[in-house]
Amino acid sequence: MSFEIIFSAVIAIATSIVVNILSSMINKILKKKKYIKIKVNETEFSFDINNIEAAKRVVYENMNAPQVYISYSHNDIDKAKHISDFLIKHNIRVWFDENNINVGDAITDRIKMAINESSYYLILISKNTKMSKWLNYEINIMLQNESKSGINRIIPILVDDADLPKILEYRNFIEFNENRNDNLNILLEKVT
Amino acid sequence: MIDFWFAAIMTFIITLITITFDSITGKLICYAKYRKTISDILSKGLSREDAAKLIERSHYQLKSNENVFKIWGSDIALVSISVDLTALGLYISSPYYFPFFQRFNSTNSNREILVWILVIMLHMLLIMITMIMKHNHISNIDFIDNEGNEIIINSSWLSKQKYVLVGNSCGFISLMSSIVFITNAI
Repeated sequence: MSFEIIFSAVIAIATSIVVNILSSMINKILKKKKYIKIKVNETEFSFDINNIEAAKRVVYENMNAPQVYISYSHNDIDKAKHISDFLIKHNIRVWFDENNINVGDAITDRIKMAINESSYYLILISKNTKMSKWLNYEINIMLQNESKSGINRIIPILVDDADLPKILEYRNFIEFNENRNDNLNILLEKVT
Repeated sequence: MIDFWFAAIMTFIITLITITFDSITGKLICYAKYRKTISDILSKGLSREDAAKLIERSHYQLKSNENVFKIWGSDIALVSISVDLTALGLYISSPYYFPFFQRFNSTNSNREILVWILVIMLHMLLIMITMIMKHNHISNIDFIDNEGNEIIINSSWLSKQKYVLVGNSCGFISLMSSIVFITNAI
């Protein structure tokens, strides 16, 4: 019986080593042929899965312009439009509720869909901004998307000398001034 | 009573089946996630910096998952505990199916249940060891670079794969002992 016990330990270690080597060999063989195919909007992209630079090249050359969602108080609509026009001029897609919500649309569904489809979220903060149920609803979805992706997507824009709401107070923000576009250029850099 | 070698081969086959399914499903899930990340970036658009960050992160996950699949000892140890519990269920209705446990009885005392408890406790202990090894291996994945994936067995390879070897060996011993005990192979 002691022979069998010693032998089972030897078999276990040998199996562990053999399987480890086998899996390394299989990985090495497969590594040469691992191509990934991705179809986006009828166009098919293919690149070597082990080549991270190839993946980046495909993405840089073919990705759509990012879509930006703008959240604002209706008293600040002029400033929101100014920012939106600036971004559109620079080929950024902008989701603006005035142009995208039609009569009869379910507003919560449209907002949720728009936030999920957008890459960055601009939140205009002014003295007119109140933490309404809409803003809370929007910020909650934005925060969920942000934590899922692990990248910073929310960009607070301060349009006057108001304080940032508590939920955003530790974030870096952009100060907006209608007469100067320097800060909007910083925004443009962030989203492109 | 079946032969000891037959028990060893059965364990080896179960191990291979478990590893193969685990590896195939895991790889498919990782590739699907990687594809989804890339196609999301392509369709939604992102800044170059954020796109690069996301690609690098999901590529890292893909690579580290390849190393996670190498540690299968805990999966095998869990199979062994399920084999034990299934056998225990059968033993309750028909104890004579498992002569291995009856060996420890004497004319005055019945020690079968005690042996069952010892076997299950031993397998629990082995599961614990394999789990510890698995978590140690996962937390060390950053250090297992390409050199750790080389096939040459040297001291550097052994030090990088020590958790894998100990964890997998314990898992294998656990399953093999289950099969040996319930089939009375020794």
